[in-house]
Amino acid sequence: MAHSTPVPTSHADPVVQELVAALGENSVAADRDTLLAYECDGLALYKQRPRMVIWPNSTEQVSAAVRILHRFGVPIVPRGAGTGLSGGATPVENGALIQLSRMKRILDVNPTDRMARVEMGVINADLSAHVARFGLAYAPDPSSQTACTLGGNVAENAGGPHCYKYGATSLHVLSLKVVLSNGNITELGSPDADPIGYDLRTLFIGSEGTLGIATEAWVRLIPKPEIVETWLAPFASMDAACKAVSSIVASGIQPAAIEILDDRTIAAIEASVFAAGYPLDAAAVLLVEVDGAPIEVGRDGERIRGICQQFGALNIQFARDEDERKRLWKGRKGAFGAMGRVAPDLYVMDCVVPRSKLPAALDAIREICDRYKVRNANVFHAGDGNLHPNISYDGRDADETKRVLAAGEEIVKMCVALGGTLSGEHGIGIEKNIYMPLVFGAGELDAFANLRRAFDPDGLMNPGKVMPAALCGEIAGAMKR
Amino acid sequence: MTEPAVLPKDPCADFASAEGRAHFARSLDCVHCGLCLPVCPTYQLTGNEASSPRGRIYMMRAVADGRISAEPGSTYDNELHFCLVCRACETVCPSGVQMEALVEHARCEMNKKTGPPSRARRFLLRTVLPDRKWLRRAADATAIYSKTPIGKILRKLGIVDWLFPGATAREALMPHVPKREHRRDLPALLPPVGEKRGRVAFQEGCVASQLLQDINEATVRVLTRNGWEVSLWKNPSCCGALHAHAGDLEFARELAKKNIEEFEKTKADFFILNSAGCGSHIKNYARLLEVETGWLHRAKEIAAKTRDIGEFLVETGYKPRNGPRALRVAYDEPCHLVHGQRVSAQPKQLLQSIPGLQLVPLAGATDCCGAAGLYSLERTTDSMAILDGKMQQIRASGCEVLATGNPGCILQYRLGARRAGMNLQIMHPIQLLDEG
Amino acid sequence: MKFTDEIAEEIKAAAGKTGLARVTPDRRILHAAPVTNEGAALILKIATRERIVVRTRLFPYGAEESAQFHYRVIQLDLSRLAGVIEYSPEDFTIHVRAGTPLRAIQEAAAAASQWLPVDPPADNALSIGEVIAKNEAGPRRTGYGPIRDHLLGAVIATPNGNILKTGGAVVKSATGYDLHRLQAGALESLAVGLEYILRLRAKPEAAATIAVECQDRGTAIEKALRVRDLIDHPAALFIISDLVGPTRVVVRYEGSQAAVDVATERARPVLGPNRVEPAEGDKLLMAARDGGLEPGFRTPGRSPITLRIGSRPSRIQLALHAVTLVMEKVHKPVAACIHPSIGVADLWIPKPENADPRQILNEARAELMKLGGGFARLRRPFETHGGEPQPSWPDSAAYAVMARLKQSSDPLQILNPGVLPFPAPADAFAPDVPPPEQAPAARPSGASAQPAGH
Repeated sequence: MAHSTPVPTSHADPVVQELVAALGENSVAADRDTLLAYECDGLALYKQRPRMVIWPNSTEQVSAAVRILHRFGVPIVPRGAGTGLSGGATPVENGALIQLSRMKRILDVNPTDRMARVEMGVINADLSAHVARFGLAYAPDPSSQTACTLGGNVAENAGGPHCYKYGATSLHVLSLKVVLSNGNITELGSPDADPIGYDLRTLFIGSEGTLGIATEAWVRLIPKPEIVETWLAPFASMDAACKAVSSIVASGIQPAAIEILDDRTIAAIEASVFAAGYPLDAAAVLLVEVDGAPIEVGRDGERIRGICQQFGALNIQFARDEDERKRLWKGRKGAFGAMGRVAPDLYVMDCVVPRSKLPAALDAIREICDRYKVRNANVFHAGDGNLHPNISYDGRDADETKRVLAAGEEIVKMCVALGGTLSGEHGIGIEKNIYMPLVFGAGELDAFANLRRAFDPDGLMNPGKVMPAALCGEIAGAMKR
Repeated sequence: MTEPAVLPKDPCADFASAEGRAHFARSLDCVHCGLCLPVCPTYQLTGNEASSPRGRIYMMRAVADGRISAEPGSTYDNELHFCLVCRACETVCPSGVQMEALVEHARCEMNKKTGPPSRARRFLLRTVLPDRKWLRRAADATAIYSKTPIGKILRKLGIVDWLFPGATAREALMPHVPKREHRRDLPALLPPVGEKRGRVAFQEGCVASQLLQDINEATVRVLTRNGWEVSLWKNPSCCGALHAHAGDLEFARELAKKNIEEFEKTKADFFILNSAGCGSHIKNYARLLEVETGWLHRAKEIAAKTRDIGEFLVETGYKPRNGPRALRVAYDEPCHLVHGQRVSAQPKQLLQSIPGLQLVPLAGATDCCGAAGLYSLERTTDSMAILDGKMQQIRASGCEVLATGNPGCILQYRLGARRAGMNLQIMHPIQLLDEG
Repeated sequence: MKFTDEIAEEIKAAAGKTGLARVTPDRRILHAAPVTNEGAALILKIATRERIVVRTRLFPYGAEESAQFHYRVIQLDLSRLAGVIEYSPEDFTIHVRAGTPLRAIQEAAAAASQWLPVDPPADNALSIGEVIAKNEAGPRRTGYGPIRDHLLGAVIATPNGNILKTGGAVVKSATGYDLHRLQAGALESLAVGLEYILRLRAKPEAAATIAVECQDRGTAIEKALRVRDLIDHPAALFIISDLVGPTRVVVRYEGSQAAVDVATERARPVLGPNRVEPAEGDKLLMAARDGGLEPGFRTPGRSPITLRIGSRPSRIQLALHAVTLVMEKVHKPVAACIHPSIGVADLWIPKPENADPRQILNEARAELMKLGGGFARLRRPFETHGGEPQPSWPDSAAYAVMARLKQSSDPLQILNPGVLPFPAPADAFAPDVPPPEQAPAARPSGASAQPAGH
C-alpha cells in the first residue's frame, strides 16, 4: 500500500487527467475527503473546496502544472503550510491548489556570502536550525515559524517579533524563482547586488500569491548575535506598558523585539501547554529582547530595566541562558494557539497604528469588544505598533459570529482613523479585501489591478484575494476572455 | 479546553449521533493553526494535509456535522489508519487537542462500518495478547516456523496466508525469538536487596514477555537493587493499548479494569513500566473508563501511581552504576514517553550518570520510528518509509548503541539495523544502567 | 515640433502663480517647476495628452536630447515642491515633499537626535526624490541598507495625471502592493514622486573609524571580509583605492560609546591599532560617498565616468578585476571604492573626449557575464541602466513583466524614456522626426534615450 496515494477518484475531470499524466498519480488529488481537508487555511472563517490539489516536487513540475491549468483557464491558489491568517491560501471556486510542501530542500548555503538557496516549502525554523552550524540565522520569525514555509512568508511579507530590529521578509530575500501564471519560469531580483530594472522582487514579496508562484529563493542570512538577553516586565496598567515602550524606543536603544501581552492573553497562556510563568496579576507584560555584543547588551538591558521600573514595573524577570529565554518566549509564541482553549474558535486580527497611538487604539478595541459582547485579548508587536486583537468565539453560534465580524470591522476602521492601516503582517487575503477602499482610492486600486495584470494578464493567480470584489469581477472578466 | 459534558456509554457512538457529539466536542479545541503539520510523520511523507493532524480532525468534524459520511475505503478511512497515533502533534498543539482520543474513537466508529475484523486480527488481539499462555504458544510457533522446515511446508501449503493474510510477504519483519529458557516468567514477588524502601508493581508486557525478557530482568534487578520489592501478575498480560489504538475500545476497557484489579491486589506504592506505550496508556485509563460507574476514581488512582522506569528512578533516587560503559550512545525518545507522558529529561539523565558513557546528539530523536503497535504489520510500506529515514539519522549520529525505552521501538530498530546493514546495538536505557 | 503658445500657457497655469514655466527661444524645451502636487500631475497629464517627453531633474539633458531628436521636452523641476510636511519624532517617521534636500531632512531630524541613515553623494545636497529614484546610498549602505529599506510610503503622480498614495506612517505594513517601494530605483520612469514618508533612526551617540593601508586590492578585500566576520556589525566597511593615496581598508562602527570601543578593540587583531581622528574618519567616509567626485577628476571637461558593479562578497574581487581591465583600455589607473561585504564597487576614470560611456558599460557587462553573473550600471556622467538588456538578464519573462508595468503606467512612454532597458512598444510615442542613424559617438551624452519605436 503506497502511503501517499490518495484514494483514487474517477478522474472524470479532464484537467485532473492531464495533471496526473504530467506529474503522476501521487502528485494530484481530487477526491472528496482530500478536497475537504483543504477547505481553509489558518483563517477558518471562510471555506471553499478546491477543484484539485497538486503537490509538485520541483519548479519544473510547478511550471508543467501551471501550463495545463492556464490552458484550461483554471484559477490557481498557491499554498505553503496553510498557517496564514487572512485566507490567502483559501481555495477559490473551481480553482486548483498548488501546495509546495514537498519542495523542502535547502539547496545551498554559502557562509562567505551569507546566503542560502532554498525551496519555498522549507519550514522557516528549519532554515535557521540548518545554518546554525555556520553561526548564521534567518531573521524573520513569525509566530508560526515552526510550521510556516518560506514561500508563505514571501507571499505575506511575514514579520515576527524580531523584525522590529531586522526587518520583515522583503529585507531578507535576495531573489526569487517564480512561475508566472502562463507557466513561464523567471528570476526576480538577484543574489548579486543592484540588479538592473524594476525591483520586481520587492513587489512580489507580500503580494499574497497574486503575481505568481515562488518556488525557490536566495535568502540573506545574518550572523547569530553573540549574546541575547530577554526581559519580562509586568505592569499594573496597559497604559504604563505602552509608555515604557515609547520611552525605550525614544532612548535610542534598538531592541531585537518589543512585545506586549495583556492580562487575558496571559491567563490563556498560563492555562495551556505553553505556560511560561507569566504573572497572572499583571494588566500587561512587556517582553523585551536585546542582542549583540555583551557590553552593549548588558548596558541596554540595564537601561530597559530602569525605564520599566520608572513606569512602575514590578518583579522584572530576566533570562540570559537559552532555556530560560525559550521559556519566556514560549508563552508569546504560543499565544494564539493557547487562545484556542478559551472557546472553540479564534479570530486573530492584525492591524497597525503609529506607535504613539497604541494606548488609544487599545482602549478603543476594549470598548468596541465590550459593546459587541465578544471576548477579546491582545498580544502585539509594540515596537512596530502592530496590534493583534484576538476574539474568541464559537463559530456554531451564528449570532456571536456576526458580532465578532462586526467588532472586527469597527476595529479595522478605528485603526485606519488613527493613521494606521489594515494589516501589519498577516496580509489582506479574503479577510480584509473589502476594507481596501478604506485606505485606497479608485486610482490606487486601479494601479494595483494594472500591476497584477502586468504579471498575470489572464487573472488566474489567486483571484479574489487582496482586491475588493468589484475589481475581482473585472479580473474574472479578463479571465473569460 | 472544551471538555465534553456527558460522554456516551457506547465508546463507538457515531460522531454524527447525538451521543457521539460529545466525543466530537474534543475536536473543537482545534483552531486549524497548522502548527502540527511539520511534526506529523505522515505529513512529512506526503505533504498532504489530509495526512496531517488538523486535516484528519477537519474530516472528523465534517463527519460529525454530517457533511461527509465515514465510508470504509474512503480517504478519510485511509487517513485514520495512516495515522501512527504517535502524539507528536499533541506536544506542539497550543490548544491541547487530544489527538489520540479522537483517533481511537474515530477508528472505533469506522470499525463498526467496516464489519468484523479478520480472523487473525481478532485472534491476536483478543486471545493471544492478554494471555501469557497464548503468548508463549505464539512465540513457540514463531520460533518453529522460522527455524525449522515446518515453516517452509506450511508456507507452501498456503496455510500461513490462510490464517494470517499477507503474512508470508512480511516475513522479513519477523523478530528473532529467544530460546525458551530466555523467556521464562519472572517470579510473582521479588525481594529488595538491602533495606526495603517500598513495594512496586511491575508488568512484563505482552510482546516483551516473550521477545525482550532480558530487558524485564534488567528492570527488576535495578528495582530490587535500589531497595524496591517487586510484585508481578501474569494475566492479563497486556495493558490494552494496542486494542484502544485499533479502535477496540470495548475490549480495552475490559483489560483496563482487570489490570486495575490486579494492581490493587498487589498493594504497591507504584506501578512501574519499562514500556512507554503501556505507561502512556495506563496513565490514560481514566479517560477510557470515565463513563464506567465506580471505575473513574480507581482509574485515576492507578494513573497517579504509574511511572515509567526512568521517570521513577530519577524521581525516587537510585544507586548509580559502578562499572564504566565506554560506549557512544544515542537516545531515541519513544513517542509515548516524550509525547504521551512528557517524560524526556529523565532517561537522558539516567544515561548520563553511567560512567564512561558518551551521549551523542540524535537529530529527530522525538520523531516516530514507525513501529506504532500493529502499524508495522498492517501498513508495512509506510512504516518502513518512516523507519528508513530514522536509520539515516541514527547512522549520522555515529552512535554504537541506540537506547530507547519501548519494546515496539526496540524491535523496529533491530529490524531497521538489519535492513540498513548496520552494526548497531539497540538497548533499553535500563539495560545500560543494570550491572547484572 | 515646437511648443505652441496654447500649450505653454496651459502648462504655465498648471505650474501655478508662484511656479515656473519657461519656454526656450527655440520653443523646444519647456522648464516647468510646479508648486503643487496637482500642478505636477496636471503637467504630466498634458504631456501624455500631447505626447511630449518629460525629463525630470534626474535627467537634466533635455536640451541636448531635443536638439538631437527634434522633439519637445518638458524639463520637470520638482525643487519647488519641497519641505517637511510632518515629523513625528515619537514614531520615528517623517513625511516630506520630493524636492526636499536630504540636508533639510537631516537637520529636522537632528533636533530629536534622529537621522535618516543614508549618505548618498554630494553632501546631502540631493533632493530626497532623486535619492529614491536612484535607490541611492553611500558607504553606510553596508550597515543600514539603501533608501528603499527606509521608505514607508509615497505620494506619486502617474503620467495619466493621477495622484496615488500607498504605504503610510506605519513602520510595518502588509496592506496592498508596495507601489512606493517600486519607485525606489525606477529612475522616475513609472511615475514622479511627490511626497515620501520615511522611517528615521536614533542617531548613534558615538562613532569610530579605523583605516589601514594595504598593498593591493586583493589583500584589502580579504582583510575587509575578515572584519565583517567579527561579531560587531559595521556601519560602513569599504576599500578606497584612488589616485591620491595608498589602498586603504576603512571600517566604521557606530553606536553607543561602549559598543564602538569594544568593536574597535575586537577589530584590532585584523586591522591593528589604526583608529583615526574623527575628522579624518569623516573625510574617508566622504571620499567613499562621493566616489566619482574625487579631486583629481573634478577639473572642468574632465568629468568622470563612473561604473557601479553589483556582485557578491565571494566574487567581488574577480568582478573588479575584469571591469578594471575594461576601463584601463580607456584610462589608467582606475580608481575604485569597494564595499566587499555587500558586493558593490564604484570604479571611475576621467572621461576622455569622444569616449562613449555606454560602450564601456556594455563591455563591462559582457565581462561580468563571462564570470557567471553580476551587474553594471553607469552613474556618471549620466545615470542609466543602459539601453539594451543584458544577454542573460533580465530573462525574457521578468523583462516582459517590466515592460508591461511601464506600459500600463506610461502607455505613451513620455516619462524619462530610455533610462531602463525596455524597448518602446511599436504604438508608443514617436517623435516628429525620426532620430538620425548616426554613430553612437555623435549622440549627446545621456541621450541614450530613444523613445520612439527605434
